[in-house]
Amino acid sequence: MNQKTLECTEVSKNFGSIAALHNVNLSLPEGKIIGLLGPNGSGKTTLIKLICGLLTPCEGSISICGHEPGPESKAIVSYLPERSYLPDWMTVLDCLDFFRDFYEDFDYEKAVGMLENLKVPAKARMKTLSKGTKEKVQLVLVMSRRARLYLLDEPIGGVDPAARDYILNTILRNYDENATVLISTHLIADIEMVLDEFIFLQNGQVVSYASTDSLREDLGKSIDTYFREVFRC
Amino acid sequence: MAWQFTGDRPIYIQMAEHITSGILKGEYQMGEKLPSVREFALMASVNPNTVQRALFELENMGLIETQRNTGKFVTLEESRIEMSRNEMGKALVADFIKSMKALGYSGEQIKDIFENERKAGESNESENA
Amino acid sequence: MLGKLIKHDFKSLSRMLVPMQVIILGATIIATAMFSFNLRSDSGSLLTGTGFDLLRIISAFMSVLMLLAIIAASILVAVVIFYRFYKSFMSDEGYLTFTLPVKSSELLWSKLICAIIWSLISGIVIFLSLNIFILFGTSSTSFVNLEFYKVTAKFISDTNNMFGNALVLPIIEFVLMVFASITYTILHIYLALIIGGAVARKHKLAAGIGFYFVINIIVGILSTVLQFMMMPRLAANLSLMDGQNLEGGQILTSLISQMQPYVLLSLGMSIVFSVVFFMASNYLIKNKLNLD
Repeated sequence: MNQKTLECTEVSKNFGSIAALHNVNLSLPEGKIIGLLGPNGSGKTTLIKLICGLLTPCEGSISICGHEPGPESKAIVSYLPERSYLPDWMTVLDCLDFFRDFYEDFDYEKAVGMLENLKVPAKARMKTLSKGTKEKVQLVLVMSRRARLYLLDEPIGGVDPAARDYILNTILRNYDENATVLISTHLIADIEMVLDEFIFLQNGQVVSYASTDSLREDLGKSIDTYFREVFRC
Repeated sequence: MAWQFTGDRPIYIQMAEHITSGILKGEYQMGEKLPSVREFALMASVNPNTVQRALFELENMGLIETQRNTGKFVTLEESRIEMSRNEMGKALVADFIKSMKALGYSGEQIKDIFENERKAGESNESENA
Repeated sequence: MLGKLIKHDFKSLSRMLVPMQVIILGATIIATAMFSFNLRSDSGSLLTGTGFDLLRIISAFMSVLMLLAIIAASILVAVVIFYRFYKSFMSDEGYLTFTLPVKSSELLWSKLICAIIWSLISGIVIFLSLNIFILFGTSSTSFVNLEFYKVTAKFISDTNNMFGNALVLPIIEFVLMVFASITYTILHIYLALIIGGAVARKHKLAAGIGFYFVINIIVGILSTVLQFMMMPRLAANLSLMDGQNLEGGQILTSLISQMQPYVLLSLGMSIVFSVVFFMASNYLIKNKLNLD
């Protein structure tokens, strides 16, 4: 049997009376780079938080390589949140030690090499680094793991084109071929070249889930154009 | 630098065309080893699976060959490369004629304008040389 | 994994708490020196003169200041422990904490164990600084003052002669009570912070402080009810003792045994409430996490 990397079955999540996600069904295979696309407030971040175990679904179930969200799933999921989450008193090397201690799949040497390439001072404390450098450190930590599922929440939001190319190349260079990468963004044109498949979310529901090539073959459109049509105001 | 792709057609097809023209231009010589899937992916900033698919297409066309464990190589059969050159050339000319007709040119006029421009181009080249 | 969590939690606390302990000890030494200087100049064994009056005022002022610093630093220890807890669970750092491949109960255990260890360390440091002060800061004639220790030693040996083994149980109970109440207090504040974080959208810390008092009131009501239920029995036992003709050591021994149900009750309540707090905290961080 070919086990799916991620399986979401009838997942719903409400915050009070507001439905953030409604009846989401997804089944993602291994070895793909998948875009999680949708306008702001469509539930992208909520879905990612549910998968990495920061939130608990109100209804439905989630399974990552056969594990419910929990210690076993967290060991094989590498999550990049859309904010700085490293303690600011830690040095960059402290952060590396921290990841090495907790994640068995963390490749310490690889992370050191990547940081050297980026000329990030390893002994500097996080609070002394600029916002952009902090983001780079987080990306290095997350991509230095040999995880089964990478969850990247808005990795290219608010960065300049050079940084964007660097980030996309880092992802392409470092993800494991059997791993699946789920990238959430509202900047579709920037990442559509690297996507195998895409998921459209709108108002907490999956509008479509298809392969990038099939969209182009069937409709002769890029995802970006299609997206603009679907979400035309 | 990422390669440029258009939005209307699958990227793997555009990728395959890009590599084909590389072979025709001699950027990739006959019998030469091609970059790996991941190298191509990084060069073009595209998904490795897309590269895989493009290379699969090229292999079906007989332009490249897989050698066990060592990677992919440009074919040594010149006829295969010539065939691709012909196909690409024909397609380009067909496109050109279609566009010219759309502008209102007749077949004769296209031929004339083509001849004139070709001569002008050649004299320019010799001047520059 | 629990070991690794404790290692990192301990490291992050030590970073701020070790310097504080150094400050407490340093302040103690300075205060002690000032105090003994004052004592000696009072007794005239040191140089006297108008110039020294000012020096004496300054040193008296300084020693009071040092005492305040010690008190402030020990309060700050608690503040640091709970601030670290808050940062690690409620702030953006929570994104790191709660995606670690560990059970939520392990996260809580680690925070609890580190807090207990640091409470004990800071208790020991305060005990040490008191002793430094008594030893070196209380005599006007000699460098060290052993009077206090002689008296204490005599008191201990006297009571031991008088009551012997009867004191073993109360002492064990006292130690257990200290541990239980440290644990209880820490878990009480942790739970309050967690509820505050789960309920409030903004001002999580303020909400946490509010819930501290809510929990306090609930626990207060419950324990008062329980104590009232126990009281008549205790009173009856004590009045029973009145009628008997007991002397000296016997009174205390009897009192200790009469108090047993009461002591065990409050010990038991601390433990039960601690367990309830822990389980409630664990449930909330597992199911009702509410990071921004």
